[in-house]
Amino acid sequence: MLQLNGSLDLELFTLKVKLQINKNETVSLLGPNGSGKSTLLRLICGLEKLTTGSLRINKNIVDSENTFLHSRFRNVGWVPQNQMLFDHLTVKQNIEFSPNSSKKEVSELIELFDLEHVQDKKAGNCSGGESQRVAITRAIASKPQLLLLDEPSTGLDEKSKQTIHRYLKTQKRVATLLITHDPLEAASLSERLIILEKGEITQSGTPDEVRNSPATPYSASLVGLNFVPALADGLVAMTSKGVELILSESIQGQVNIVIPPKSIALYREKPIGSPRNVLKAKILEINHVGENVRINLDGQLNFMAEITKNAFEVLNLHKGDEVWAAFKATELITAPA
Amino acid sequence: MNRIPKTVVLFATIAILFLLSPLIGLLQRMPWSGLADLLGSDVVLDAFLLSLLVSFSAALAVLVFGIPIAWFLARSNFPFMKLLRAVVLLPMVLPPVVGGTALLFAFGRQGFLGKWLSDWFGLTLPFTTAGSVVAAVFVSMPFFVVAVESAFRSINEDLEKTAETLGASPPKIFLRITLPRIFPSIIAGLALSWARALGEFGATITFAGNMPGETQTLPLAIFLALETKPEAALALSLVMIVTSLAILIPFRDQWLPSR
Repeated sequence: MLQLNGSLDLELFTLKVKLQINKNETVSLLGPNGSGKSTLLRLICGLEKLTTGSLRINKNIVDSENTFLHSRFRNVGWVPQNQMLFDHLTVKQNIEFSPNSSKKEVSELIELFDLEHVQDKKAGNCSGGESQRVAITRAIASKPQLLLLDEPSTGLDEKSKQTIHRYLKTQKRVATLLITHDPLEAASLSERLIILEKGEITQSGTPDEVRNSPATPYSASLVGLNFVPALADGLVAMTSKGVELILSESIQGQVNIVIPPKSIALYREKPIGSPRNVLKAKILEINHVGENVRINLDGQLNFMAEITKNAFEVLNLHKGDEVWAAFKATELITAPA
Repeated sequence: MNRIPKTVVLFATIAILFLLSPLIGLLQRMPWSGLADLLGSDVVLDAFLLSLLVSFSAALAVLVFGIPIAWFLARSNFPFMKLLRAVVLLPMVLPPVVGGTALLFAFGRQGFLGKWLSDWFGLTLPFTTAGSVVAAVFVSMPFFVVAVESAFRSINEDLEKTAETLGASPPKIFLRITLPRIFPSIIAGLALSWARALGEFGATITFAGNMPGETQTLPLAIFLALETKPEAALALSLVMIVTSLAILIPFRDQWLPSR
């Protein structure tokens, strides 16, 4: 369906992507802010041109060294991050804007996305959730061969989110590339995940594959693990910032070390005793997750600890506090890089 | 309620009184009893009609050519954009007499364009009504371009690009997306440049001359009458003030968003 193998020079880095999306497949694109995700979508719908390489949609080359098919003729449904509704037109006029739209389908979609009661309202007066549903509906009504969604459910009310998710899971009949920051959304909506960091795909695979063997610190953070690349020499591994971690099994060379957040214990005073790894760190952020509290720590290592609510209250932790983090060597998962 | 500081009110009052004083002076000396006769005279009527013809023709030309210029200035990556913008704005700050002189050198009988127009099309611009229109377009165009260019700039181009990805044609995108967004600025810019064209004096008298019925617009007639028949100058001024206010009052809110 879509085959992209090429690069685009950006201000800070080069976006270099090899990507394939099959018919009817949904692929989620994840990555830190500024990694080039939105630019990749713009490239596919024809708002940017490849510097090198080529892009095929449905076997037709739409962008290469000597071809460039204008976005008007690519038939790619783009839902940009800030929706870009035509504020001065009504919801219905927005949805039927595309010359490819048909009256029958427009009214079906309006019903499907629960927009009947606002269809004659000016799009500029819609709520955030309504606007996002209008933007998606408008793109689908143009009968695209490929749908590009840029963070479709960020900042939405629960109901709108569910409406959109229900459509993408059950009704959709078109290949889709979805940008999201939510690993749960990615796992539940898509067959494959692609991780983009600084313009390069650092991992690609099914949600299970990414969960079981994250390839980079970012992938690991997505599935809630701490990920530390280091150089091991026997039972000691040294990170790039010079932090020594004690391992439980001897290994040599470049390794990736995963520190499960639940294995980390926090102390006010430097603990003395059994845990072999003890690091000083500062609390960056505190997030309550169900019965547990996730604490982002910064220091010699940037990592996350997950402790019980009870422990959190006993320790009386606040943002900015200095704490000691300790974890046993046996809790670390080490694999050659 | 919004409380305005007393100092601001004081200075604003002084400034408004200053702007009003010439108007008061004019109205004070107005020959009200003979006004009907003066306004009915051929000179006044001819000048008034000619002024309307010239200023509206100029406004039409400004509309037709101003939108493309504004579009280009707002969106192009042309390398000498800064220079080009300055050149387009030049007539706004140039003394109109200089503009008129320059027009004469370009479109006069011996001018490089004037010669060509006259040789190939038998067209003469200087000292004709068409010349008055050309002078008015020259001085009033920047007012329109500035207003519309900023409107083009305020549109997020992704809005038009989204319309493109939906398969819409360029004319459809312009008419349904771009135009509705720049329309208020088009009206505002048009009113402003029309008002400038109506008041145009220096470039017109230099380039088109001062011939009653042909190139003698209201400002020129006023200038002439001031020497020969001052009460006629006053009556003509009244006509200009009333005509200008009639256009300015309804469109004032288009320049500034109304409260």
